Amino acid sequence: MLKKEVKIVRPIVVDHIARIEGKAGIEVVMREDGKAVARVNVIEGPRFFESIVRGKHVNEAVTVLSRICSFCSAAHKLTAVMCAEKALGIEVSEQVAKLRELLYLANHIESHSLHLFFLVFPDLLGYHDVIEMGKDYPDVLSAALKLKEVSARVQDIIGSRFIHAENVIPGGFSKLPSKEKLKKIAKEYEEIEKLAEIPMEILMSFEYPDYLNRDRIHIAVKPYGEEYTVIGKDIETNDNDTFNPENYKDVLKEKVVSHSFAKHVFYKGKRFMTGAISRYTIFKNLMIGKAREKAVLRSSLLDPRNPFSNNFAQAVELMYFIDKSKRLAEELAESIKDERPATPSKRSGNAIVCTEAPRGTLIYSMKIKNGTVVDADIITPTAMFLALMEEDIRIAAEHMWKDGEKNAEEISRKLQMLVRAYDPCISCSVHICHVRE
Amino acid sequence: MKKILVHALTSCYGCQLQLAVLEEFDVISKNFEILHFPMISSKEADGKVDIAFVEGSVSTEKDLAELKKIRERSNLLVALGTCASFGGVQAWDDRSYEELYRDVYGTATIKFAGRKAESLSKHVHVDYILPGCPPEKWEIKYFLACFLINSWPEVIDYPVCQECRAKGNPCVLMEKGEMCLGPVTRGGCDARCPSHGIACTGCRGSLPFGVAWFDSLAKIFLKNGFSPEDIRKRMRIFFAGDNDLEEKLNRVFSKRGDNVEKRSEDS
Repeated sequence: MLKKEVKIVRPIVVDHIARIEGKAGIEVVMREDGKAVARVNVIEGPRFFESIVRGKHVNEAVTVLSRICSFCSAAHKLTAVMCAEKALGIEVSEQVAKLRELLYLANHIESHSLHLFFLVFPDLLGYHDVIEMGKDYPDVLSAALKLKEVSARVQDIIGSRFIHAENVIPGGFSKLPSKEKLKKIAKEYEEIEKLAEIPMEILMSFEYPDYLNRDRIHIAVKPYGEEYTVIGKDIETNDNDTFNPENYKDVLKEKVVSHSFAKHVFYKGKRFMTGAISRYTIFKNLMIGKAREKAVLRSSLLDPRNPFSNNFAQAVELMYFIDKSKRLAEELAESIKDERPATPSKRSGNAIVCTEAPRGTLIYSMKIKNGTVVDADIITPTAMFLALMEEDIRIAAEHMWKDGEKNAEEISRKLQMLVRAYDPCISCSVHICHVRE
Repeated sequence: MKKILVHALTSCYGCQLQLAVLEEFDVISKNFEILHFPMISSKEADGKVDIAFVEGSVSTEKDLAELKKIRERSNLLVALGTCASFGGVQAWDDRSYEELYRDVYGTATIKFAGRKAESLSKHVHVDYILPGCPPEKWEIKYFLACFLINSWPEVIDYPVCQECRAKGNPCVLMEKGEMCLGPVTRGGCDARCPSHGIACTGCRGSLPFGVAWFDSLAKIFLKNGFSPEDIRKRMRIFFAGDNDLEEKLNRVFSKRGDNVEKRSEDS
């Protein structure tokens, strides 16, 4: 990889990046000519999910697939179940679809809150962690815990628990939430609306390193209706390309890299971004209400050319998803009625579905024969943006070096902040997509 | 102040997440000094700890090296969650590591060495297990509280069924005829899944001390029309780490088992 005549001046090695979901390291080698070689070592062990669900009953497979990740377990469970339903010709009711959206949004609210308050803000405010930060900023800590508590409770009520929701089954829900509980959800979301503005306020005083500004491709799932959301059918990009997930294998190519148990994914051969900033960039016109009004005033912080915008986009979504969830819960509380889960119309079939997980586009592909999974393929958001993140790390390291920053510790601190802005989910990325077609 | 560390091997990070977001987190941070908890803190301190909580299964050579180091610096080692306690869902499949690797990565090579997912106790001495996928919040707090007063946590030796019956739920196994593992699964979850009308998949691991009635349950499943292979797969989701699972199941599925089955039907 390195040409022999180029002397290595300084290796910057972060063995285990703190405050991210999962185990990954950064390895940057600065060369005398000012160029850097950067790698994100994904050292989280391989988990072979697609391989181990093969030959298993579809209901057991979807139960196990939520275990790919805890931060986005509802995303995995819902997407797996929707994929199984499509394959088996199960049509769920409108009520089920709305309840699932409410559950999915709760996962986003929880994940964004955890990411911003627990993983990102300690950097910006100068602490090692949220505990230290909470001593000086008790209001920020209590807001973090409250946002997490409410969104976790919603997942408890609708999905049976906040990590690994077992109540979500092919066809709908085993047990439906009561009218009273849905009313309580709406009321609790209303109570935390004000707290959801805190992340934007904190992020506003933070400047992005402009050397990372460059054009990037963003991809996101197009919302199913007229309003911004996380569920839909087709995938869109910021250069106006639309593709059906059925064709994802033609558009998104995976590659095994030797320094990672997570494969890298390329869009038409190029590195690309997916996540809150991608959703916002492509579909911001579908976002309504106060969150959108606030976001418009801060459009410079939502620059799709800078990876740090992802934090601010999450803050905007946090506000918006709470508002949307409140409206959804109110509506469901009025209309909730008893119904049984829908049943399959066939025992075999293939399907591909995509949704927006907290960290971006999530694709599930399944082949089912006589109720048994015969093939599964999953592409996670983190595997999608890993290649771009690695390139940004290289660019950032080269710039800091050029600007005279020679302190390896300082460079690595800043590189870790960059990684955190992407909000990678390493557990997700090493579930691994298999090569067999 | 007691010193603790929280570390993850290969996992979904859900067990640590349960710990990190406990509503009583400020109480915990006031009573325990956290030396290492990389998921939420960039602070690192060396030295001995009183208690180490380790999540995840040993799935790479690096995992194993980290685990050994942690064991050396810890007075007590707690396996946090089902992966750490029994291997977890990663151990569901019984194919070898090499076969799984080929299936996923083909002939490509990766410079880190992986290995078949296994529980912590296959490699080092584990003082306590705190299973669950994820572990229940009350139980994490109970463990911490016990350690705080120099006591030790009691092992749960009653099945999910006990809590389920106490709640008066309709029986998923007998009334709905589903493959519910409640009778052989460690309780403590307040029968979360059966209370939602969902069959228990055994996420808290099998009952300890060999008191689980695997044989009877497997016979009920057979009677309900499930094949030995269905039953084996269901029990392996979370019980794959049980050394004697195969032996027990083989006993049930053997000719002798079938005879017992027939006799009970005749009577």
